[in-house]
Amino acid sequence: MTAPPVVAAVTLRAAFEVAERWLAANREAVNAINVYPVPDGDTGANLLLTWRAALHAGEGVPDHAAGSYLGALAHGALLGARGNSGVILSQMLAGIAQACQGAGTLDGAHFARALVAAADCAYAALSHPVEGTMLTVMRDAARAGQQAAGAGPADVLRAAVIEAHASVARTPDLLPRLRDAGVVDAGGQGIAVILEGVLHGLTGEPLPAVAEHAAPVDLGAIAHEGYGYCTEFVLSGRGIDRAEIEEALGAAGGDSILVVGDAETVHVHVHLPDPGPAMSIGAARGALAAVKVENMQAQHDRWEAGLSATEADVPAIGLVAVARGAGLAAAFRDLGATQVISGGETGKASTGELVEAAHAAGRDHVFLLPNDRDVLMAAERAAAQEPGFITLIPARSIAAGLGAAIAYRCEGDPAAIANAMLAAMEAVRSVEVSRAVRAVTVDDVSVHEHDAIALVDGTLVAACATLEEALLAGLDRAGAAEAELVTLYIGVGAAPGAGASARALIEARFPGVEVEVIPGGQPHYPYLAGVE
Amino acid sequence: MTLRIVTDSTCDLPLEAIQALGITVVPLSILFGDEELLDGVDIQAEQFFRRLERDPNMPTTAQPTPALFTHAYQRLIDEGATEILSIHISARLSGTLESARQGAQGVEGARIEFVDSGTVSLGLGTGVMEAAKAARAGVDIDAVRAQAEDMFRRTHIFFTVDTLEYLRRGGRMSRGQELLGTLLKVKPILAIREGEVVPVGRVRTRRRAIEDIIGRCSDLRPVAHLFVVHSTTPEEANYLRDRIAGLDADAPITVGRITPVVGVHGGPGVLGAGVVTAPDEQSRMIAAK
Repeated sequence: MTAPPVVAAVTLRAAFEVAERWLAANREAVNAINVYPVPDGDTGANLLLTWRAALHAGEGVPDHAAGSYLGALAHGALLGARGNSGVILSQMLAGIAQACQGAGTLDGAHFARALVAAADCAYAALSHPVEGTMLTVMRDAARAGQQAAGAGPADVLRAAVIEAHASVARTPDLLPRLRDAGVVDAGGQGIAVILEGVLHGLTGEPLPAVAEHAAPVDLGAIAHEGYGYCTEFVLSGRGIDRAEIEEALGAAGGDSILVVGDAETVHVHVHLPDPGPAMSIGAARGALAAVKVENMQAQHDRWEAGLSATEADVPAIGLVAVARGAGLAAAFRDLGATQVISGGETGKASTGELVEAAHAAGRDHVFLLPNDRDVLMAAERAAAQEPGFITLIPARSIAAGLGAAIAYRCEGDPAAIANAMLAAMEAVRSVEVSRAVRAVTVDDVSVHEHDAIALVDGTLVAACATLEEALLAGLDRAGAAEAELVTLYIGVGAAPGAGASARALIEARFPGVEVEVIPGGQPHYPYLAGVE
Repeated sequence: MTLRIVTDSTCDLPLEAIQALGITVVPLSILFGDEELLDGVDIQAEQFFRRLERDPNMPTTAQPTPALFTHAYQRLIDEGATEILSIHISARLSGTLESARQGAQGVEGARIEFVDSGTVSLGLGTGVMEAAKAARAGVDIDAVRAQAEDMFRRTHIFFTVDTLEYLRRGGRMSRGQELLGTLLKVKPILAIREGEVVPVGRVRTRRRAIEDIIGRCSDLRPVAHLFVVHSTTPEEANYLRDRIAGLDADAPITVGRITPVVGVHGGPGVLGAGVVTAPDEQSRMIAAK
């Protein structure tokens, strides 16, 4: 073993890159153990994308201090976190960065403190932390690391990794639904894999053979609309006043302004017709690094209109919705959504993307609809980052989100409209129908691989031979018999006439309910429905 | 001094109230192709909505000619009226008030004053009824006019429709274009504000539209008057009546069916409720004069 007694930023960087490859190699394995065997259960992918966003942010940072490198990573993860597991991972990185702030190199004590801080930050981020998840695994790993604190970084990490694996194995004891499903916790497994990858990177021990490389993911996922220059840089200094910089950039005509970080390091992102002023503002307040200037290609009328419209022309309140599927996006736009984003490859939009979309709407106030249980945390982060500007309407499904969007108004009292949207959202029961990707028993339902499964408001209620049976079972459990209206969204690749036959089936089974069929075009779920 | 009250057929008052209070109602017109029908005279609601379904011509509406007003005012003067208060549908929804003013020109023998109610249907009708009661009780025209204007200021109507198509075609909805043509079917909640039809909300189902309307009426308590209107759904109107009657045991409640002229613009499935809120500080100042 040739691990150094202290670790410098450059070594950390290399080790984290090894961890990335190791996580990529294990991505499918982690995805496969999500409790719900739904086709887009993608903890592995979310953790990987979040990790990559972190590394991407760290690329431009000069290799002087391990502390600032970790800080940059944490910022990147904060903005690029995808899925609930990604957001929790970003909180862990924030804890690690805080514990190592100001450190040039890291010793064993740093590593031990960092792991503890990672666990603490992750727990603090959740209003209802659940044991038997990645929280428990990190906390157990941190405890083991603490006990080895007198040793060097690699020994601390080794102790942590061993305990992480043991903790993962214990997660079914702590979380009944894991035990019922016969799996360990996917997020916890992901953490163990990441720690293991970093350890191998530090010690140089070879990883097991990698079967295949995961497809490269497009990280340039922040949509750039309009023309002008997208200007990004990292600013280092002392006593940096983020609000003041935002004001200065705004006064210079900047759009989509993001200034994140702390008093010593901030990450700045702004759109300007001329990148010069942004550079000058930065240079006057500290040292510029990782400067990126991109000429935004598309001439976008809306961006122009946003700059030139008078206050009287532009309604005050916008709506940002996350949705995949051309029909679903059209439905949200029809109801007035100012921005509809798809959330990239996995459909799990990151905090950064959500904030970016909110700013791109060009309104004084924005409502945010995540429309997916697994985008909820990133949306909570986005709202927390922009209080008074973004109001979260916590829709956990497309059906709930469209229900809320019905009550959206572009003018008026935001609080009153928010209440109306919440009430409308809560009146809808959501049904999701897909094919199970593996066998499992969950929520007292026995599922075979390739069964058609139905979830109602996130709980698995039925496993059937055909999608239509699952749909009817789901609708039944969602109360369609007493409902007034069933709205059915047909997924991508459905046979022509699928909507009409589904309608006939529903009307036959639930006479008296009105059926509306929308071609949603969504992936993974041949049928989505709202019952109200 | 004998004060008589005139209104138009969009007031949607029941016949008994019109006759009992001696109110004169001047009819607007409905045009099916070339055929002109006097609202509530040549055609009633029942026939109208049946014909609306079958007739290939989309009907339009027209304000009464000034001559109809001249005739109505003259007849009242012949019957002994020395003062006439002519109270009408919102001037932003119809040219009826303008026609009334023109019709009054050259008429001698009575002082004729006008009130733009800024509303329609039983929003208009409720104010007209109270004005007629005051006239019967011998209140002078200036006071009745002030009281009527004050009452209309406190009048609110909320309604939903089966489709916005009739409002759109008739041109009576100037704003709220974003409600039209959505992929998802929505039930609009509309109100009359500042004399115009404006969208105030959007819900998914008829049931929820009814609850929304009840909620809005409830929020306006305390109320002095309540009313319910419908075009083709009397059972729903009764249900709505029972629900909002509960808002104030003392407030009189009127149920009416919308006249064909209003039906041209609302279509089948119009259902609404309204309130006149209790008199406030401003009302008391007016009454004290």
